[in-house]
Amino acid sequence: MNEGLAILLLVFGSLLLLDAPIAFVIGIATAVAAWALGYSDVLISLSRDMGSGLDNFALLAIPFFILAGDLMGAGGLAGRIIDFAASILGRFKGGLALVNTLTCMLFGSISGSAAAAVSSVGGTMIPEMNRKGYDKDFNIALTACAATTGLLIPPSNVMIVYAVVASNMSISALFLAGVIPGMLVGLLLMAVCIIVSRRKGYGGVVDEDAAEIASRRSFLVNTWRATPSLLLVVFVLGGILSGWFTPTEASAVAVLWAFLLAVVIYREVPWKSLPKVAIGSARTTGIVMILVAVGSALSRLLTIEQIPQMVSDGLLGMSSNPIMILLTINVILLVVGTFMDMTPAVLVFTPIFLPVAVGLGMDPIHFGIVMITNLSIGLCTPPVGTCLFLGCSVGKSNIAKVSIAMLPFYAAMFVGLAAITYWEDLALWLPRLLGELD
Amino acid sequence: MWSKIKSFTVFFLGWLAIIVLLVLVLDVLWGVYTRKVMGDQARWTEELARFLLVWISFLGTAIAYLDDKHLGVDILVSHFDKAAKRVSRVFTHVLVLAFSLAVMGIGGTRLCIDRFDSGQLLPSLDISKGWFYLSVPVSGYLIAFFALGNVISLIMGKGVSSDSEEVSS
Repeated sequence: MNEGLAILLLVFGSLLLLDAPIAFVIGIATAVAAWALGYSDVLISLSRDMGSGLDNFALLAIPFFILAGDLMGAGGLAGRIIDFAASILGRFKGGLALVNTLTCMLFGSISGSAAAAVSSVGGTMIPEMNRKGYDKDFNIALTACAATTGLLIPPSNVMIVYAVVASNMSISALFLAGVIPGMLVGLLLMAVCIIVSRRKGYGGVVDEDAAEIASRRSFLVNTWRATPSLLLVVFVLGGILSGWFTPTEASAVAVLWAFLLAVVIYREVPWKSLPKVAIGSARTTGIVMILVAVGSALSRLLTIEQIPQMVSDGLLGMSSNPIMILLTINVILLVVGTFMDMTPAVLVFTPIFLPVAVGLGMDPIHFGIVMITNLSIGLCTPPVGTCLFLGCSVGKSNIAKVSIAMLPFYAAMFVGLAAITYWEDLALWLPRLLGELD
Repeated sequence: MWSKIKSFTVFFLGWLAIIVLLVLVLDVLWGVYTRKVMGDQARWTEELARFLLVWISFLGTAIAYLDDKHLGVDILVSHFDKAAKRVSRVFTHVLVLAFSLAVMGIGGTRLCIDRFDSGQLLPSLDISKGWFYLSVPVSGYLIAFFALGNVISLIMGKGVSSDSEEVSS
């Protein structure tokens, strides 16, 4: 085995286990490997790679979507979306569970953050569902899983990261490609909700409680109240598709719209708390962007050492069956996802696996959607799962109990992942239809 | 003294970040406005945006380190006892110190000196490319400084303010 790769893996693995910040672990492992391989001027070239890795107009959408999401999420967004979702789904059996799922999908899309969806939507929906007799661990499990669908439904920051590491592919095509897979996973989760609700008798024939939320205001009023927030997504997608804006410009317009809604129209974010919101957004930006910076240094080292080529040859040598190879990649990513967060996993594994997928004739857009769907599952699994952990702390339960309640939802997400992996039209049909992809 | 320096830095970095974010949003919106309404996009808008992006990113990195918010994996460490936890925390802060000082700080400084000497300019803004890369060592030295502070206070037994909860529990 390549000596540099061995050192890289060794340093990376051991430091990671000691709870060192992962961005710094990637940086140190890259530096040590480059030094051991006898590269000259390691310090200078690494710091240059970090700086130039961020020198990309497309990446600017990340701080903007973060800021827009923070502004939108700070106010009563969750409440308005819940009312809207309740007036559509509240009348069905297990209504509150369905309402929770749809709310997480919409909230996750608008705020761009699965974690924010768990805490904001979960903070309201979990206690409400507990009160109406739904099992607590079921509620937490559902919220955690449903929140991840917002990463597939655009706008989505992790897609921008993927588009940039996968050498500047079309962000608009990627955004569109996520729409149907995101809805598919959401629908599968809803199917689980319906089955479990029937078995356990949640919500009766008509979920009176959800219907009660719905009937507080008429459907039209609820829709009207949720419209300005939903328009954010419409503006972003519509603006990009009509060719009015680049994705980055659309994200700046999203900030403007979020600001107008939160500060001027709803007045849920007072002027004096704006600095706090902005600092929080800058901090989140830093967390993501330092990963992108060291990720680009790492990816340059991997390319020079021809490691993607090696992995590709190895995988293609094991089997010539594309189904088996994609299965192998998916299993590896599932394992990675259980202990690694999504952004670092995308940064580290895209340069390694994308050439394999392309070698099999897979569209890079399709592979990106598969990867994000796959790593979403990891956000809900122990030992490290942001959504699972956050759900447990919001809903006050423990990880072991919730993990058991997760089982049917894991099954639904696996079905979704398999369908999205092996049926490329799920991802590619919409961008092709709208002419964003050949 | 230490906490004063720290809170001043947090205050200063925070306001700097706010200003950079605000200018960024206005800059990109101005780019859209000039293209759509005036028919000809001001060329400097995209270059300024990329310049400020690298600065907000590395400033944000320093802020996130100060607030102890960077992503990590605590599967193993969460099973450690108090003393072992403390040793591992000292170790991780030393790692951060080493990387931010050596790569971002020293490497970044030499990179900037190179770039300032080379006379390479950002074409529309007409300033040296060195100003772009300067964000790397500035962030590196800031992080290194606070990592050193964290290591010292952990060794002296005071705990780090942001993770005192973990140390005491």
